Amino acid sequence: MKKLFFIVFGISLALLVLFFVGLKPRLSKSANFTTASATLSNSRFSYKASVASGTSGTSVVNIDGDSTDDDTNHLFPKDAICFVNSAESGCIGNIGYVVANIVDTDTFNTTGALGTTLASTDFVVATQSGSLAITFTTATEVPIGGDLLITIPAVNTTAKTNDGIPDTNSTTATNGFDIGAMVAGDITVSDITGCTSAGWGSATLTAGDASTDHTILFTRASATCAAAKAITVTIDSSPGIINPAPITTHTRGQADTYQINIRSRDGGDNVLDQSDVTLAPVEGVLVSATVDETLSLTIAGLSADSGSYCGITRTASSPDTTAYSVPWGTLSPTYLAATHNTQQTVTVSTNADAGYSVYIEENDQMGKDGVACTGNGGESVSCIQDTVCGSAPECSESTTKDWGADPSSYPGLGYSLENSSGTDAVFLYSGGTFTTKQIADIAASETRAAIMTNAGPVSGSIANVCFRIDITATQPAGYYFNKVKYTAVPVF
Amino acid sequence: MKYKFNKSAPKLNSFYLFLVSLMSLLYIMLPFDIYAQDPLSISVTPPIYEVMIQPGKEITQVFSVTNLGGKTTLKPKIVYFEPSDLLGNVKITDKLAPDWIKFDPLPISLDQGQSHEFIVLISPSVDVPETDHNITILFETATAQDLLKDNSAFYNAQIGANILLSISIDGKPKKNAETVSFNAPFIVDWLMPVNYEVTLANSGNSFWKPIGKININEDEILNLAPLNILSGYSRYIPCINGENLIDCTSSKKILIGIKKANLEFILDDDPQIYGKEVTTVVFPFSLLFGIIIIVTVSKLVNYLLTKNGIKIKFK
Repeated sequence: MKKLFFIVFGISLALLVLFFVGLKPRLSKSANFTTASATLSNSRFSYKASVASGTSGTSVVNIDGDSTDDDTNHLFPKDAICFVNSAESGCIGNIGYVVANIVDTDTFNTTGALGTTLASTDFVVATQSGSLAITFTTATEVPIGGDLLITIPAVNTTAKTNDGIPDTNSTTATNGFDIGAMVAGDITVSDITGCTSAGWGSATLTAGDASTDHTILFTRASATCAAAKAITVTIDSSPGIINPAPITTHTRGQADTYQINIRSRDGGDNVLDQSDVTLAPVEGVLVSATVDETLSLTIAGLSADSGSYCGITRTASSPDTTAYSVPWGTLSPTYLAATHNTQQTVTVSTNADAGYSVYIEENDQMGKDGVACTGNGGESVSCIQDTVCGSAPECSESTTKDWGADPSSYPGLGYSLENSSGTDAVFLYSGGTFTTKQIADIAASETRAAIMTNAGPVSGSIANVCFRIDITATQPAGYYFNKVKYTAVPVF
Repeated sequence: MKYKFNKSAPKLNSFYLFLVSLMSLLYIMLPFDIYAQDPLSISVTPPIYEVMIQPGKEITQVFSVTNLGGKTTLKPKIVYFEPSDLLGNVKITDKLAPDWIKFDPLPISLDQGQSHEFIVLISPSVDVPETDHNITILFETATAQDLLKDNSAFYNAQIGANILLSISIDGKPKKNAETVSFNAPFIVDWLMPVNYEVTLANSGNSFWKPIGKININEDEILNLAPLNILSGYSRYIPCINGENLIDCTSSKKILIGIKKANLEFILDDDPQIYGKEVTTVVFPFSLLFGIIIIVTVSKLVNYLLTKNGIKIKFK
């Protein structure tokens, strides 16, 4: 028994040593692309409804409820349609029609007369197709001999994945996009320095079948594709990729979501980077475009007792902030850089093409026990006013001014900015000693001001928001507070 | 007093060793997440949604909001926004979205790493007029409470997703554009780049994107960025290279001559082409100035040498 204890002890000790020298065993896994998104130029579901009746020589078509699209709600005037039989072996008579008008929920008219009498087993389909752009940024270099593999969902029925007729099935896992007459020449990859399109060569397009999805393969034939390269693979709009019809278990009004897998691999087919991006065709609209994009905002406090932020060195005396508060503690009327300055960090990531902005506002100036700070606030109404930074022209929520190294002559609250990662801060403290703005006072009808902005995608842009406060010896004693809000919104 | 091992209790010592070892193993296996002082971190997908819908129809869009920080509660609301500048930034208003844009207004409680699918149902009735609705969905975190009564500022955050919504009966709303400005310098030195500034206005009933280019002397093409321009507003339009927005700058140099730039664009897929032309005269000022300097200096040197009786013979 004693021997067993020592064996366990020995193994534990060895593991501890390994752990503390940084050899803690970790799961080996490939990296994600740093950004990845897919955009359909036309995100509307294809339409597929079961025909009830339609007589040759007339233009009236009735549909019934035997298919997912069981009414005309998602069929629109000017939609190009055709009729297919139950085997879906192409458009009947190879004739296409155009919707003239919608009569009611189960009847519509075509612009031209029907060339054949329709059977109750036939379907009316309105194919929705368009271009597909898949964008991602490499995290890992793709070597010569490596490749780029994109997998697009296809319906799990052999010979139906590329027949040009929109597909449907019981679940999104078994349904997908139809590539119709698309050929490899319809697919291009962006040409960028460090990852030229010539290096990729031509695409290899393989249509899916009952057990496999569609694949697009680009093999890195010459020159490596470097890390941190933003690559776009585009399927052009002619003929374009055909959106699926809603699945048979579709919930009306909701998108069916499909995952496209993007992966880069080395010459041995080992995955280097990979990401899944979502495509979500939707119904009920005339035109819509939505991109699998994300905007994220992170606010973090600072508690380090070292480091320089906006030119101010943090010490043990610096107020520790959290994401939710800046506790100034008991304020001294004697200004000290360490105790009268503190910071938060704001981090933003987005793959939205048009970028984003982050704004800051306060509900009011800091009031004693939360009292309303009328007018310009200040000691007379028991408030700590927003600083004016200096003599005219003063700083405001929209105009900066250097508050200097010693702000005692112009007390109050203000903030400055510093880029920690990226260049998204809208102004910098370093325009002077401590270039400052007021926080927009909503109670005074001031307009919230941007603190960070970028006109394109960003990955982890960080700005330090540096707050400074100063009071005079005549500031009434009490508990002062206000509420500050950050707002992140995409640029439209 | 010296501490002595109790040799009479070896089983107890072994037990402690075993316990310490076990605790060490557990320590290694425990997750390393630190929950104190968690940041406030939220994300929303998609951040922008463009949609056109017929009155009388309805559509549902799901916005996924994820909490990557500490446990928080998000309060949703949908309000109108207006463009705040020519760059596409938004000014959020207090005006609430119409009641036919429906959502669950109850606060959403999210643990760390948890996501919530926020469903927005857009169902304009048949009598809703054909116009655009520019709205933002805002998710606002709760504000902290101060128990210590310190002088403080309390922070919260909100994240928004924009919806550009067009109401149209036939899918062909009236789209119209005006070129507010298409500017370039009238005359430049041949070494200087020529920058083109494009500002377009939407005088139609629905938002659109300009699809077009600046064609310079039929020899150089600058592609316009297809950015949304909202009905009744103007927007500065940069150029685009791949996925990157860039200044519209002509990089091809000519020594002397005229750069004629034609701005041509359509509105989405509308066939009507809008256009405007500007002309820039390129002249080699710097070259001329250099030649003048060289000639002047050589003349001066020659004059001084001659004046002082110095002759330079070139063999």
